[in-house]
Amino acid sequence: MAQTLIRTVARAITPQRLRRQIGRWRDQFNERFARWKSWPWVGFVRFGDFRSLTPLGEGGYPQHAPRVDEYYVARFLSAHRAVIHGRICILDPLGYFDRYQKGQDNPRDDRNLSLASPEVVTIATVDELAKLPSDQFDCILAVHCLQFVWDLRSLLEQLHSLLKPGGLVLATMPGIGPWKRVPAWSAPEYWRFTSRTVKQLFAEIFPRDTVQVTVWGNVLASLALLHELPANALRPEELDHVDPMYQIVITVQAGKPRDVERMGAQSSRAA
Amino acid sequence: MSRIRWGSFRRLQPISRTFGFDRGLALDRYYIENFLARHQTDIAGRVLEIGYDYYTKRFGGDRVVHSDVLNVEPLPPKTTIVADLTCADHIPSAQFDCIIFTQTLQCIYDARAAIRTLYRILKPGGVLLATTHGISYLCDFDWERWGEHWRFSSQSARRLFEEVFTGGQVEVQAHGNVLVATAFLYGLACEELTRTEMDYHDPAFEVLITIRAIKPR
Repeated sequence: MAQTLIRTVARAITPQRLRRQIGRWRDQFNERFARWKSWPWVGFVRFGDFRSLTPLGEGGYPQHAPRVDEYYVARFLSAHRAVIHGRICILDPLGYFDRYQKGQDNPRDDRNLSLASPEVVTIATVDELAKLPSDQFDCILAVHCLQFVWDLRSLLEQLHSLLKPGGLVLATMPGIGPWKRVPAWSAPEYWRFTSRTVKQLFAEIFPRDTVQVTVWGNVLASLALLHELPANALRPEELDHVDPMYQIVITVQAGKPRDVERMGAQSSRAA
Repeated sequence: MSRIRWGSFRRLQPISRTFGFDRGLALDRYYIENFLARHQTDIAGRVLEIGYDYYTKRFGGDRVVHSDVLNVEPLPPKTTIVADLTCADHIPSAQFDCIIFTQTLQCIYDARAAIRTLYRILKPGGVLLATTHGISYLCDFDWERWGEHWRFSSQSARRLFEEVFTGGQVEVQAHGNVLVATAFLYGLACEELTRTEMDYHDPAFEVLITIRAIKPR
Protein backbone atom coordinates (compact mmCIF):
# COMPACT_ATOMS: atom_id res chain seq x y z
CA MET A 1 0.00 0.00 0.00
CA ALA A 2 2.64 2.51 1.08
CA GLN A 3 4.93 1.27 -1.67
CA THR A 4 2.27 1.78 -4.34
CA LEU A 5 1.64 5.26 -3.03
CA ILE A 6 5.33 6.13 -3.12
CA ARG A 7 5.62 4.70 -6.61
CA THR A 8 2.64 6.69 -7.86
CA VAL A 9 3.96 9.90 -6.35
CA ALA A 10 7.45 9.25 -7.67
CA ARG A 11 6.09 8.61 -11.14
CA ALA A 12 4.04 11.75 -11.00
CA ILE A 13 7.04 13.92 -10.20
CA THR A 14 9.65 12.64 -12.63
CA PRO A 15 11.35 15.63 -14.26
CA GLN A 16 9.83 14.75 -17.64
CA ARG A 17 6.27 14.61 -16.41
CA LEU A 18 6.76 17.70 -14.30
CA ARG A 19 8.17 19.60 -17.21
CA ARG A 20 5.27 18.51 -19.40
CA GLN A 21 2.75 19.55 -16.75
CA ILE A 22 4.42 22.92 -16.28
CA GLY A 23 4.37 23.33 -20.06
CA ARG A 24 0.66 22.60 -20.09
CA TRP A 25 0.00 25.16 -17.34
CA ARG A 26 2.10 27.71 -19.18
CA ASP A 27 0.13 27.16 -22.40
CA GLN A 28 -3.16 27.48 -20.54
CA PHE A 29 -1.93 30.66 -18.88
CA ASN A 30 -0.69 32.12 -22.15
CA GLU A 31 -3.92 31.29 -23.92
CA ARG A 32 -6.06 32.84 -21.24
CA PHE A 33 -3.95 35.93 -20.75
CA ALA A 34 -2.69 36.45 -24.31
CA ARG A 35 -4.74 39.55 -24.80
CA TRP A 36 -3.29 41.11 -21.66
CA LYS A 37 0.31 40.56 -22.69
CA SER A 38 0.69 43.38 -25.17
CA TRP A 39 0.08 46.95 -24.11
CA PRO A 40 -2.20 48.73 -24.93
CA TRP A 41 -4.83 46.13 -24.08
CA VAL A 42 -8.01 45.71 -26.10
CA GLY A 43 -10.11 48.78 -25.38
CA PHE A 44 -7.09 50.83 -24.30
CA VAL A 45 -5.72 51.77 -27.71
CA ARG A 46 -5.79 55.52 -28.20
CA PHE A 47 -6.54 56.24 -31.84
CA GLY A 48 -5.68 59.94 -31.76
CA ASP A 49 -6.46 61.47 -35.14
CA PHE A 50 -6.36 58.09 -36.84
CA ARG A 51 -9.88 56.86 -36.17
CA SER A 52 -10.84 58.20 -39.55
CA LEU A 53 -12.28 56.48 -42.59
CA THR A 54 -10.51 58.84 -44.96
CA PRO A 55 -6.75 59.45 -45.10
CA LEU A 56 -5.72 62.36 -42.88
CA GLY A 57 -3.40 63.89 -45.43
CA GLU A 58 -5.91 63.94 -48.26
CA GLY A 59 -5.72 67.49 -49.51
CA GLY A 60 -4.26 68.68 -46.22
CA TYR A 61 -0.66 68.88 -47.37
CA PRO A 62 1.09 70.34 -50.39
CA GLN A 63 0.64 67.89 -53.27
CA HIS A 64 4.35 67.69 -53.91
CA ALA A 65 5.65 67.19 -50.39
CA PRO A 66 7.41 63.83 -50.67
CA ARG A 67 5.54 60.94 -49.12
CA VAL A 68 7.22 58.12 -47.26
CA ASP A 69 7.73 55.88 -50.30
CA GLU A 70 9.30 58.75 -52.23
CA TYR A 71 11.61 59.34 -49.30
CA TYR A 72 12.85 55.74 -49.50
CA VAL A 73 13.26 55.94 -53.27
CA ALA A 74 15.31 59.11 -52.82
CA ARG A 75 17.47 57.42 -50.16
CA PHE A 76 18.13 54.50 -52.47
CA LEU A 77 18.99 56.70 -55.43
CA SER A 78 21.30 58.89 -53.33
CA ALA A 79 23.10 55.81 -52.06
CA HIS A 80 23.64 54.65 -55.65
CA ARG A 81 24.51 58.02 -57.15
CA ALA A 82 28.01 56.80 -58.00
CA VAL A 83 26.76 54.10 -60.36
CA ILE A 84 24.24 56.29 -62.20
CA HIS A 85 26.36 57.52 -65.08
CA GLY A 86 26.88 57.17 -68.80
CA ARG A 87 23.85 56.59 -70.99
CA ILE A 88 20.79 56.34 -68.80
CA CYS A 89 17.27 55.10 -69.39
CA ILE A 90 14.52 56.22 -67.01
CA LEU A 91 11.16 54.55 -66.42
CA ASP A 92 9.28 56.79 -64.03
CA PRO A 93 5.50 56.73 -64.53
CA LEU A 94 4.70 58.31 -61.14
CA GLY A 95 7.27 61.10 -61.46
CA TYR A 96 9.18 60.05 -58.32
CA PHE A 97 12.55 60.36 -60.00
CA ASP A 98 11.63 63.64 -61.58
CA ARG A 99 10.72 65.15 -58.23
CA TYR A 100 13.79 63.64 -56.61
CA GLN A 101 15.98 65.28 -59.18
CA LYS A 102 14.34 68.66 -58.83
CA GLY A 103 14.84 68.10 -55.15
CA GLN A 104 12.36 70.34 -53.43
CA ASP A 105 11.42 69.76 -49.80
CA ASN A 106 14.21 67.36 -49.02
CA PRO A 107 16.86 69.27 -47.10
CA ARG A 108 18.70 66.11 -46.02
CA ASP A 109 19.85 65.33 -49.48
CA ASP A 110 22.85 66.94 -51.09
CA ARG A 111 21.94 66.18 -54.65
CA ASN A 112 24.25 66.88 -57.48
CA LEU A 113 22.68 64.41 -59.80
CA SER A 114 22.32 66.43 -62.94
CA LEU A 115 20.94 64.21 -65.62
CA ALA A 116 19.89 66.92 -68.04
CA SER A 117 22.23 65.66 -70.72
CA PRO A 118 21.45 64.10 -74.10
CA GLU A 119 22.58 60.83 -72.57
CA VAL A 120 19.27 60.46 -70.77
CA VAL A 121 16.31 58.70 -72.37
CA THR A 122 13.00 58.90 -70.53
CA ILE A 123 10.43 56.26 -71.36
CA ALA A 124 6.84 57.49 -71.53
CA THR A 125 5.09 54.20 -72.31
CA VAL A 126 6.14 50.57 -72.11
CA ASP A 127 5.73 50.12 -75.86
CA GLU A 128 8.60 52.54 -76.45
CA LEU A 129 10.99 50.04 -74.90
CA ALA A 130 10.47 47.57 -77.72
CA LYS A 131 11.51 50.16 -80.29
CA LEU A 132 14.89 50.87 -78.69
CA PRO A 133 17.97 49.07 -80.05
CA SER A 134 19.62 46.68 -77.62
CA ASP A 135 22.95 46.92 -75.77
CA GLN A 136 22.97 50.67 -75.37
CA PHE A 137 22.44 51.77 -71.76
CA ASP A 138 24.91 51.88 -68.88
CA CYS A 139 22.15 52.27 -66.35
CA ILE A 140 18.39 51.76 -66.29
CA LEU A 141 16.33 53.33 -63.52
CA ALA A 142 12.96 51.60 -63.08
CA VAL A 143 11.32 53.75 -60.41
CA HIS A 144 8.03 52.40 -59.06
CA CYS A 145 6.88 51.11 -62.43
CA LEU A 146 6.82 47.31 -62.25
CA GLN A 147 3.47 47.29 -60.41
CA PHE A 148 1.86 48.52 -63.65
CA VAL A 149 3.30 45.68 -65.74
CA TRP A 150 1.30 42.52 -66.31
CA ASP A 151 4.04 40.41 -67.87
CA LEU A 152 6.95 41.12 -65.53
CA ARG A 153 9.26 38.51 -66.97
CA SER A 154 9.20 39.82 -70.49
CA LEU A 155 9.69 43.39 -69.30
CA LEU A 156 12.77 42.36 -67.32
CA GLU A 157 14.07 40.50 -70.36
CA GLN A 158 13.64 43.70 -72.37
CA LEU A 159 15.54 45.72 -69.76
CA HIS A 160 18.29 43.13 -69.78
CA SER A 161 18.69 43.32 -73.52
CA LEU A 162 18.75 47.14 -73.47
CA LEU A 163 21.69 47.18 -71.06
CA LYS A 164 25.27 47.27 -72.28
CA PRO A 165 27.32 44.37 -70.95
CA GLY A 166 28.45 45.51 -67.51
CA GLY A 167 25.43 47.82 -67.23
CA LEU A 168 23.22 48.09 -64.17
CA VAL A 169 19.52 48.21 -63.52
CA LEU A 170 18.29 50.00 -60.38
CA ALA A 171 14.66 49.35 -59.58
CA THR A 172 12.28 50.32 -56.80
CA MET A 173 8.96 48.61 -56.09
CA PRO A 174 6.11 49.04 -53.61
CA GLY A 175 5.42 46.45 -50.90
CA ILE A 176 2.85 48.18 -48.69
CA GLY A 177 0.86 51.20 -49.78
CA PRO A 178 -2.55 52.43 -50.87
CA TRP A 179 -3.75 51.25 -54.25
CA LYS A 180 -3.52 54.44 -56.28
CA ARG A 181 -6.62 55.23 -58.20
CA VAL A 182 -4.58 56.83 -61.01
CA PRO A 183 -3.42 54.34 -63.59
CA ALA A 184 -0.08 54.82 -65.31
CA TRP A 185 1.10 53.47 -68.63
CA SER A 186 -2.60 52.93 -69.35
CA ALA A 187 -2.67 50.04 -66.87
CA PRO A 188 -3.97 49.74 -63.32
CA GLU A 189 -1.72 48.76 -60.45
CA TYR A 190 -1.49 44.99 -60.42
CA TRP A 191 1.11 44.01 -57.86
CA ARG A 192 2.72 44.64 -54.53
CA PHE A 193 6.02 42.85 -54.05
CA THR A 194 8.13 41.33 -51.30
CA SER A 195 11.91 40.97 -51.15
CA ARG A 196 11.55 37.29 -52.11
CA THR A 197 9.59 37.95 -55.29
CA VAL A 198 12.03 40.64 -56.30
CA LYS A 199 15.02 38.38 -55.68
CA GLN A 200 13.44 35.57 -57.68
CA LEU A 201 12.17 37.77 -60.53
CA PHE A 202 15.52 39.41 -61.10
CA ALA A 203 17.57 36.24 -60.54
CA GLU A 204 15.64 34.56 -63.36
CA ILE A 205 17.04 37.12 -65.82
CA PHE A 206 20.22 38.49 -64.22
CA PRO A 207 23.05 36.47 -62.64
CA ARG A 208 22.03 35.71 -59.07
CA ASP A 209 25.19 37.06 -57.48
CA THR A 210 24.65 40.51 -59.03
CA VAL A 211 21.14 40.87 -57.58
CA GLN A 212 21.15 42.91 -54.38
CA VAL A 213 17.79 43.45 -52.70
CA THR A 214 17.17 45.95 -49.90
CA VAL A 215 13.95 46.60 -47.98
CA TRP A 216 12.77 49.85 -46.39
CA GLY A 217 9.99 50.57 -43.94
CA ASN A 218 8.35 49.86 -40.62
CA VAL A 219 4.87 49.98 -39.14
CA LEU A 220 4.92 53.69 -38.25
CA ALA A 221 6.12 54.68 -41.71
CA SER A 222 3.35 52.59 -43.27
CA LEU A 223 0.79 54.42 -41.13
CA ALA A 224 2.13 57.73 -42.45
CA LEU A 225 2.09 56.43 -46.02
CA LEU A 226 -1.47 55.10 -45.88
CA HIS A 227 -2.68 58.38 -44.43
CA GLU A 228 -0.77 60.31 -47.11
CA LEU A 229 1.23 62.27 -44.55
CA PRO A 230 4.46 63.85 -45.80
CA ALA A 231 7.66 62.04 -44.84
CA ASN A 232 8.79 64.94 -42.68
CA ALA A 233 5.90 64.28 -40.28
CA LEU A 234 8.25 61.60 -38.91
CA ARG A 235 11.79 61.91 -37.61
CA PRO A 236 14.57 60.57 -39.90
CA GLU A 237 15.47 57.85 -37.39
CA GLU A 238 11.84 56.72 -37.38
CA LEU A 239 11.77 56.55 -41.17
CA ASP A 240 15.11 54.75 -41.37
CA HIS A 241 14.24 52.00 -38.90
CA VAL A 242 13.90 48.80 -40.93
CA ASP A 243 11.39 46.14 -39.91
CA PRO A 244 11.75 43.30 -42.45
CA MET A 245 8.10 42.29 -41.97
CA TYR A 246 6.90 45.76 -43.05
CA GLN A 247 8.41 46.19 -46.50
CA ILE A 248 7.11 49.51 -47.82
CA VAL A 249 9.66 49.86 -50.59
CA ILE A 250 11.83 47.12 -52.05
CA THR A 251 14.87 48.23 -54.01
CA VAL A 252 17.12 46.13 -56.17
CA GLN A 253 20.34 46.50 -58.07
CA ALA A 254 21.18 43.94 -60.75
CA GLY A 255 23.90 43.83 -63.38
CA LYS A 256 24.36 42.39 -66.84
CA PRO A 257 27.66 40.54 -66.91
CA ARG A 258 30.41 41.63 -69.26
CA ASP A 259 30.96 38.78 -71.63
CA VAL A 260 34.39 37.27 -71.94
CA GLU A 261 35.17 38.82 -75.31
CA ARG A 262 34.48 42.33 -74.16
CA MET A 263 36.41 41.74 -70.99
CA GLY A 264 39.36 40.73 -73.15
CA ALA A 265 38.97 43.78 -75.40
CA GLN A 266 38.83 46.13 -72.44
CA SER A 267 41.85 44.68 -70.72
CA SER A 268 43.89 44.81 -73.91
CA ARG A 269 42.84 48.46 -74.36
CA ALA A 270 43.90 49.15 -70.80
CA ALA A 271 47.23 47.52 -71.43
CA MET B 1 -2.81 71.30 -40.87
CA SER B 2 -2.35 71.43 -37.13
CA ARG B 3 -0.28 68.97 -35.10
CA ILE B 4 -1.13 65.33 -35.53
CA ARG B 5 -2.40 63.48 -32.47
CA TRP B 6 -0.70 60.09 -32.79
CA GLY B 7 -2.46 58.33 -29.91
CA SER B 8 -0.94 54.89 -29.32
CA PHE B 9 0.43 54.68 -32.84
CA ARG B 10 3.72 56.56 -32.67
CA ARG B 11 5.76 53.41 -32.16
CA LEU B 12 8.14 51.39 -34.30
CA GLN B 13 6.88 48.02 -33.10
CA PRO B 14 3.31 46.97 -33.90
CA ILE B 15 0.92 46.30 -31.03
CA SER B 16 0.67 42.62 -32.06
CA ARG B 17 2.63 40.70 -34.68
CA THR B 18 0.15 37.86 -35.01
CA PHE B 19 -2.58 39.66 -36.97
CA GLY B 20 -4.47 40.34 -33.74
CA PHE B 21 -5.16 36.67 -33.00
CA ASP B 22 -3.89 37.23 -29.46
CA ARG B 23 -6.40 40.07 -28.99
CA GLY B 24 -9.50 38.59 -30.63
CA LEU B 25 -10.62 37.89 -34.18
CA ALA B 26 -8.10 39.01 -36.82
CA LEU B 27 -9.44 41.80 -39.03
CA ASP B 28 -8.89 39.92 -42.29
CA ARG B 29 -10.79 36.94 -40.86
CA TYR B 30 -13.83 39.18 -40.46
CA TYR B 31 -14.03 39.59 -44.25
CA ILE B 32 -13.04 35.99 -44.97
CA GLU B 33 -15.73 34.58 -42.68
CA ASN B 34 -18.38 36.97 -44.01
CA PHE B 35 -17.48 35.95 -47.54
CA LEU B 36 -17.66 32.22 -46.79
CA ALA B 37 -20.90 32.64 -44.85
CA ARG B 38 -22.43 34.48 -47.80
CA HIS B 39 -21.51 31.62 -50.12
CA GLN B 40 -21.93 28.73 -47.73
CA THR B 41 -24.37 26.92 -50.03
CA ASP B 42 -21.43 26.50 -52.43
CA ILE B 43 -19.60 24.45 -49.81
CA ALA B 44 -21.14 21.08 -50.57
CA GLY B 45 -20.35 17.64 -51.95
CA ARG B 46 -16.67 16.90 -52.21
CA VAL B 47 -14.78 19.82 -50.66
CA LEU B 48 -11.07 20.60 -50.66
CA GLU B 49 -9.55 23.08 -48.22
CA ILE B 50 -5.95 24.25 -47.88
CA GLY B 51 -4.22 23.89 -44.52
CA TYR B 52 -7.03 22.70 -42.22
CA ASP B 53 -10.66 21.60 -42.53
CA TYR B 54 -11.85 24.39 -40.22
CA TYR B 55 -13.99 26.33 -42.71
CA THR B 56 -15.29 23.17 -44.42
CA LYS B 57 -16.70 22.01 -41.09
CA ARG B 58 -17.88 25.40 -39.96
CA PHE B 59 -19.68 26.53 -43.12
CA GLY B 60 -20.25 23.25 -44.96
CA GLY B 61 -22.02 21.31 -42.24
CA ASP B 62 -24.13 18.41 -43.53
CA ARG B 63 -23.82 19.44 -47.16
CA VAL B 64 -20.24 18.15 -47.24
CA VAL B 65 -20.04 14.54 -48.41
CA HIS B 66 -16.29 14.19 -48.36
CA SER B 67 -13.70 16.59 -47.00
CA ASP B 68 -10.06 16.76 -48.14
CA VAL B 69 -7.22 18.86 -46.78
CA LEU B 70 -4.28 19.82 -48.96
CA ASN B 71 -0.88 20.81 -47.63
CA VAL B 72 2.50 21.28 -49.18
CA GLU B 73 4.05 19.31 -46.29
CA PRO B 74 2.43 16.26 -44.66
CA LEU B 75 2.50 18.00 -41.27
CA PRO B 76 -0.97 19.02 -40.05
CA PRO B 77 -2.72 15.83 -38.88
CA LYS B 78 -5.77 16.07 -41.13
CA THR B 79 -3.82 16.38 -44.37
CA THR B 80 -5.14 13.96 -47.00
CA ILE B 81 -3.34 15.36 -50.05
CA VAL B 82 0.28 16.48 -50.09
CA ALA B 83 1.01 18.61 -53.12
CA ASP B 84 2.63 21.75 -54.41
CA LEU B 85 -0.14 23.38 -56.44
CA THR B 86 2.25 24.65 -59.10
CA CYS B 87 3.18 21.09 -60.10
CA ALA B 88 0.46 18.74 -58.83
CA ASP B 89 -0.01 16.30 -61.68
CA HIS B 90 -0.70 13.46 -59.24
CA ILE B 91 -4.06 14.95 -58.19
CA PRO B 92 -6.71 13.55 -60.57
CA SER B 93 -8.70 16.09 -62.60
CA ALA B 94 -12.34 17.14 -62.12
CA GLN B 95 -13.02 15.77 -58.66
CA PHE B 96 -14.00 18.60 -56.33
CA ASP B 97 -17.32 20.42 -56.09
CA CYS B 98 -15.83 23.19 -54.02
CA ILE B 99 -12.33 24.40 -53.14
CA ILE B 100 -11.77 26.72 -50.18
CA PHE B 101 -8.55 28.56 -50.91
CA THR B 102 -8.04 31.19 -48.20
CA GLN B 103 -4.90 33.33 -47.82
CA THR B 104 -2.68 31.03 -49.86
CA LEU B 105 -2.25 32.64 -53.27
CA GLN B 106 0.17 35.27 -51.94
CA CYS B 107 2.59 32.54 -50.86
CA ILE B 108 2.91 31.01 -54.33
CA TYR B 109 5.44 32.59 -56.64
CA ASP B 110 3.91 31.08 -59.78
CA ALA B 111 0.33 32.04 -58.96
CA ARG B 112 -0.92 31.35 -62.49
CA ALA B 113 0.19 27.71 -62.38
CA ALA B 114 -1.57 27.27 -59.02
CA ILE B 115 -4.83 28.69 -60.40
CA ARG B 116 -4.57 26.40 -63.44
CA THR B 117 -4.21 23.39 -61.12
CA LEU B 118 -7.22 24.48 -59.05
CA TYR B 119 -9.24 24.86 -62.24
CA ARG B 120 -8.18 21.41 -63.44
CA ILE B 121 -9.15 19.59 -60.24
CA LEU B 122 -12.56 21.31 -59.98
CA LYS B 123 -15.56 19.46 -61.41
CA PRO B 124 -17.41 21.29 -64.23
CA GLY B 125 -19.77 23.64 -62.39
CA GLY B 126 -17.54 23.47 -59.28
CA VAL B 127 -16.85 26.60 -57.25
CA LEU B 128 -13.55 28.07 -56.08
CA LEU B 129 -13.80 30.35 -53.04
CA ALA B 130 -10.51 32.21 -52.69
CA THR B 131 -9.24 35.09 -50.57
CA THR B 132 -5.94 36.94 -50.52
CA HIS B 133 -4.25 40.06 -49.12
CA GLY B 134 -4.14 43.44 -50.80
CA ILE B 135 -2.44 45.41 -48.01
CA SER B 136 -0.67 43.50 -45.28
CA TYR B 137 2.61 43.01 -43.51
CA LEU B 138 4.46 39.70 -43.74
CA CYS B 139 3.51 36.74 -41.59
CA ASP B 140 6.49 35.21 -39.73
CA PHE B 141 5.02 31.71 -40.03
CA ASP B 142 4.60 31.80 -43.82
CA TRP B 143 7.76 33.80 -44.42
CA GLU B 144 9.99 31.19 -42.77
CA ARG B 145 8.34 28.21 -44.48
CA TRP B 146 7.39 29.00 -48.06
CA GLY B 147 7.79 32.75 -48.27
CA GLU B 148 5.27 35.39 -49.24
CA HIS B 149 5.51 36.78 -52.72
CA TRP B 150 2.60 38.95 -53.75
CA ARG B 151 -0.09 41.36 -52.72
CA PHE B 152 -2.88 41.50 -55.28
CA SER B 153 -5.32 44.22 -56.26
CA SER B 154 -8.87 43.40 -57.30
CA GLN B 155 -7.78 44.13 -60.87
CA SER B 156 -4.89 41.67 -60.93
CA ALA B 157 -7.00 39.05 -59.14
CA ARG B 158 -9.77 39.45 -61.70
CA ARG B 159 -7.38 39.20 -64.62
CA LEU B 160 -5.51 36.20 -63.18
CA PHE B 161 -8.70 34.22 -62.56
CA GLU B 162 -10.48 35.27 -65.75
CA GLU B 163 -7.52 34.11 -67.82
CA VAL B 164 -7.95 30.60 -66.42
CA PHE B 165 -11.73 30.41 -65.87
CA THR B 166 -12.55 31.35 -69.46
CA GLY B 167 -16.24 30.93 -70.14
CA GLY B 168 -16.87 30.58 -66.42
CA GLN B 169 -17.97 33.16 -63.94
CA VAL B 170 -15.54 35.22 -61.84
CA GLU B 171 -16.71 37.56 -59.07
CA VAL B 172 -14.05 39.65 -57.39
CA GLN B 173 -14.65 41.93 -54.44
CA ALA B 174 -12.30 44.10 -52.41
CA HIS B 175 -12.78 45.00 -48.76
CA GLY B 176 -11.30 47.56 -46.42
CA ASN B 177 -10.53 51.19 -45.85
CA VAL B 178 -7.71 53.26 -44.39
CA LEU B 179 -8.78 52.64 -40.78
CA VAL B 180 -8.96 48.89 -41.26
CA ALA B 181 -5.66 48.88 -43.15
CA THR B 182 -3.80 50.73 -40.40
CA ALA B 183 -5.46 48.80 -37.56
CA PHE B 184 -4.56 45.56 -39.37
CA LEU B 185 -0.92 46.61 -39.80
CA TYR B 186 -0.67 47.42 -36.07
CA GLY B 187 -2.17 44.02 -35.23
CA LEU B 188 -5.47 45.20 -33.75
CA ALA B 189 -8.47 42.87 -33.71
CA CYS B 190 -12.08 43.14 -34.84
CA GLU B 191 -13.20 43.82 -31.29
CA GLU B 192 -11.45 47.19 -31.44
CA LEU B 193 -13.38 48.57 -34.41
CA THR B 194 -17.10 48.87 -35.05
CA ARG B 195 -18.99 46.92 -37.69
CA THR B 196 -19.83 50.11 -39.60
CA GLU B 197 -16.15 50.99 -39.73
CA MET B 198 -15.18 47.55 -41.01
CA ASP B 199 -17.93 47.49 -43.64
CA TYR B 200 -17.03 50.87 -45.13
CA HIS B 201 -15.35 50.29 -48.49
CA ASP B 202 -12.67 52.53 -49.96
CA PRO B 203 -11.25 51.34 -53.32
CA ALA B 204 -7.81 52.80 -52.57
CA PHE B 205 -7.43 50.50 -49.57
CA GLU B 206 -8.01 46.97 -50.74
CA VAL B 207 -7.00 45.11 -47.59
CA LEU B 208 -8.59 41.82 -48.57
CA ILE B 209 -9.66 40.45 -51.94
CA THR B 210 -12.32 37.73 -52.23
CA ILE B 211 -12.78 35.73 -55.40
CA ARG B 212 -15.60 33.37 -56.31
CA ALA B 213 -14.92 31.53 -59.57
CA ILE B 214 -17.11 28.90 -61.20
CA LYS B 215 -15.78 26.40 -63.72
CA PRO B 216 -18.02 26.27 -66.82
CA ARG B 217 -20.07 23.13 -67.37
